[in-house]
Amino acid sequence: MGNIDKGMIGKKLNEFEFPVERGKVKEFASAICDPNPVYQDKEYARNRGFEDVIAPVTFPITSGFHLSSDNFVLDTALELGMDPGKSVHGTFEVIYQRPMCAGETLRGEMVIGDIYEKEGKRGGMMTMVEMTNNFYDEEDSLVVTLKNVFIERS
Amino acid sequence: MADEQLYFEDVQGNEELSPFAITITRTHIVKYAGASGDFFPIHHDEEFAKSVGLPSVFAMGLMHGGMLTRMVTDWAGDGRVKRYKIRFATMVWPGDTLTFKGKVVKKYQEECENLVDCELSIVNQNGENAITGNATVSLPLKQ
Repeated sequence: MGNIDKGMIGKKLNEFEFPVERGKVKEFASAICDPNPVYQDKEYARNRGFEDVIAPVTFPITSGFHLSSDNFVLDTALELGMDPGKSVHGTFEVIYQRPMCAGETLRGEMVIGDIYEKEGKRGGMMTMVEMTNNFYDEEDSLVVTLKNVFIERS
Repeated sequence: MADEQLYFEDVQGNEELSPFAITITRTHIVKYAGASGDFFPIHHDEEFAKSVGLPSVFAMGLMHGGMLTRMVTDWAGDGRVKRYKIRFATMVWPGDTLTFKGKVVKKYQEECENLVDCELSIVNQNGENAITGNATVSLPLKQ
């Protein structure tokens, strides 16, 4: 533990545009083996009351394509003082206010959440680092929040 | 792909969601790398994986973590998920057969919404958890 900079709690890291694209939604749905037409067929989605195809639940993870660099998350972890060799992805959480639809462009904000220590199940301390992405629509309403917790073992 | 909408009144307190199984291949992993943008070489470059002491590449947790969402959305209907949280446990290797499971654990009303909490898991062929998680869905009432 020790080396992780708690002064970074609450720091806004990046703001970026996240276009929700129909082709990307279809590709992602196929990669998670989900044949639901609501992810592929605009007419089907419209008949169900959506503006366009909607995005699968974990689709916001693809927002990484729109960050300023390919290694943004790794670089951030290093900037925080984390040791990538001792760190793992602990949890992933997504919280929806409404489904995301193809055709909209969301504004993403990436923020460092809480940083705290916790005792590991097999003894030893672990440091938990939360990284949060909030996505807002054109009306500036929150659509979805994505939270990742990375764990560094001491 | 729920053809008939599930209503809150119809949910049973300890209902099990329909399980399914997928045997993971390298093709699944490569396809998910391209779709998600996760190009960490440990997931697609066999030589790199071996050079850091692993037996082979292994899957990104969010790959099977993404496959798991179908269990909830096929049951609850499209666009019904409020919250989905997964914890990553044991690693998933090419050739692993994963069983995706879920059950209802709580049914309640809060702030004019009809919510159902489900407990989810992905278990490998050795009975080890690859992922444990939970989801909350918001369902309509019949009237």
